[in-house]
Amino acid sequence: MQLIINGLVIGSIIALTAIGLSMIYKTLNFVNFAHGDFVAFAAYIALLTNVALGMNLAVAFAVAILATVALGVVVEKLVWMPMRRKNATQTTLIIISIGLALVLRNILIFVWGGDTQSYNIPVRRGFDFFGAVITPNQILVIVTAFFLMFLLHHLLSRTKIGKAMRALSDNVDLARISGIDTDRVILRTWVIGLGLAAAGGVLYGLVTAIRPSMGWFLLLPMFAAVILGGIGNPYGTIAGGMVIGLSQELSTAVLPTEYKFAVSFIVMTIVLLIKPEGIFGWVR
Amino acid sequence: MKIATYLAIFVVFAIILASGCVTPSGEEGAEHAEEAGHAEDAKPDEGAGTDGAGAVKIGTLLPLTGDLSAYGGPMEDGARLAIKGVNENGGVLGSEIVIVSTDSRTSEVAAVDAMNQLATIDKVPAVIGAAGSGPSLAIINIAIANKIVQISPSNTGPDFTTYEDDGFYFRTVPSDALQGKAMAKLAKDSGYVNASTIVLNNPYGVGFEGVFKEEFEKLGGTVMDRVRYDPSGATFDSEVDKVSANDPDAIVLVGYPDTGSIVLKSAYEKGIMETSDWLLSEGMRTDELAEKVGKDTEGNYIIAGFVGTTPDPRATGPAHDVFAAAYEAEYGEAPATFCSNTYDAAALIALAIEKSGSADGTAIRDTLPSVANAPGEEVSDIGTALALIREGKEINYQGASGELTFDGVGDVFGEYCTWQIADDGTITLGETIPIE
Repeated sequence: MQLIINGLVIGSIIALTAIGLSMIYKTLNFVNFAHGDFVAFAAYIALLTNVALGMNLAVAFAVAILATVALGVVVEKLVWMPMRRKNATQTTLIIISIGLALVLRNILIFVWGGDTQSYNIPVRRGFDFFGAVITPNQILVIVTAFFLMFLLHHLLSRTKIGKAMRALSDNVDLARISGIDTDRVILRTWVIGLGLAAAGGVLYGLVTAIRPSMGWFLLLPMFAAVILGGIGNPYGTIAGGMVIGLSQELSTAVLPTEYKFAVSFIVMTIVLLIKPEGIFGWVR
Repeated sequence: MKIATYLAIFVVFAIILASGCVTPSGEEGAEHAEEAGHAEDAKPDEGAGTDGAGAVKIGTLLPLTGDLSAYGGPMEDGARLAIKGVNENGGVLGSEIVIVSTDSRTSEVAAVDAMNQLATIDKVPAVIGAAGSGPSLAIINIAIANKIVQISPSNTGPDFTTYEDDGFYFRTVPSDALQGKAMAKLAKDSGYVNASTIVLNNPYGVGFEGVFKEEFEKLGGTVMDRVRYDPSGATFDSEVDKVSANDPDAIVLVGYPDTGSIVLKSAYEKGIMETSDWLLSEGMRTDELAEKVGKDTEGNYIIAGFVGTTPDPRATGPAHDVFAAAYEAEYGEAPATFCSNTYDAAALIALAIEKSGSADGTAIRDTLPSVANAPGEEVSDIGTALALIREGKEINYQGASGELTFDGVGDVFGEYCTWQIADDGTITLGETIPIE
């Protein structure tokens, strides 16, 4: 039970942050290596709002999401859109994103230093929950994550922009000739993807601590979730994130804890061997 | 097919990620190589470790950023203070010592880059570093291959005692083989019958764990669970659950403040601090630890009162007070952990160079124990020590961190004490732990 809770918490964070990675991956056909550092950026903005400006953490949460999305939009306008116009190759975009990741992370280190920091909130005792201990922060993470995932589901399935996004990630050319303004939809994909990543980043900082490398280290499980869930499928990514999170935590019951990352990747490999298109993927 | 391409890309970057590489160093390395080429063209007769002006170069490879950054800066200051003392007293071999400072970033990969730079471009005869056992193990073979003396001011991993280092590796801090003993003694004397350990999965943590288990069981205790954690982990909740699963009397945490604080915070949230006592290794001993772990709802530090073991920074040679005063005068703050050890490392290198008459790695290796060990006149002031060497006398340098007597494999003997976190989050040092 305890391990399931732990797994759900980390799974929620991986899922939230990985959705954006997956959507961008599919829509723009490149791997955004800077995604993890946007996650860290959000956590630091929340830290700034919460500690330096003395605001409530809920306010910090909102500010972090807005700031991260704003940064994402600026980067899209300044970097990604011009690069697309120039018909940059996938490799070029990947290298640019790695560079962007380094720039972002080093800005974080430059401004806030390399030390671990945490929000200005007291550490609270957990509650007893069917024989396991669950902390208020963990509840917050799980509830917020599921709420955001529900919102996303609503957005994708019920609104026009959501449908346009799905159409675009399904087939860019077909979407374009159907009269969808691709640049606008891409921009909104960034907004939603990075908004979720930012939310995940703030929550991640809440359950552990804030450090410059937090997003970079999270990138690997995020990729695993994306691939496991089928690239471009947000629901698959959520499932993938949960599988990765749960498998790595549950494995500690039988295996030494230092192997928990290996276990989650072994699970990923096995799933892909059986179903190479990912859990929710489809064969083309 | 498409999936396969993605997977291939994924695997390549997984490797990069897993290696902990933060910056691609290719470009940097190429630049340096070019510089090295020019330097060699310009001065073909240049001797090892000296530049055109004849100054002797010594390298430092300390964690100015990263997990151990809280230590790195003050340690670097400690080394600079010693070299300042040497240069004010006539330097070595008639010229000044210049410190070539590099940053290990608490990362094996960055440490190797920095060490290669020191070995091939700056051609230093001796390097002070690294701070963490992981980076030190990563660079030790480069040191041996280039005949560079490597002195670590803070490596406590037992592995270094038995490492085939051809004599080039020294350390001015005692091995964990001793601290594991001290921790076992402390646990036993505190009345704990059984204990579990949660350690950083690196040479420092794993080495400490092994010695603690052996010694604690020798004293009649039982080690229940042994958990190792990966510092790049997203959360440490399951590790904390596992270490507390059997309700041990005490949990020994061996780690560094950045990730160790997350472990402690998680333990508090789960109520494990009520069922088990925690003992902390010296890696956790910084004044910032209590702040990092956080406060409870009443505003009290949640780890106030926690106890740990450390090499006793007070049980030091006669040079310590003088060193502390000089350090405070120079930098406006009291020396932090390992400052005095770094100071001594730099001082010993300088004394060994002066005595051997050569700024050469092999010469320093052969001479270093003779300036630190008996016989010889006991001296702790760098200026006096240099003067005695110039008179041709034998000296026995008494360091700021201890009397510094090296055994045959480059280890020093040491004393241990307890430390405790006070209510205001600061560290107070406790009693000496007697070990044989």
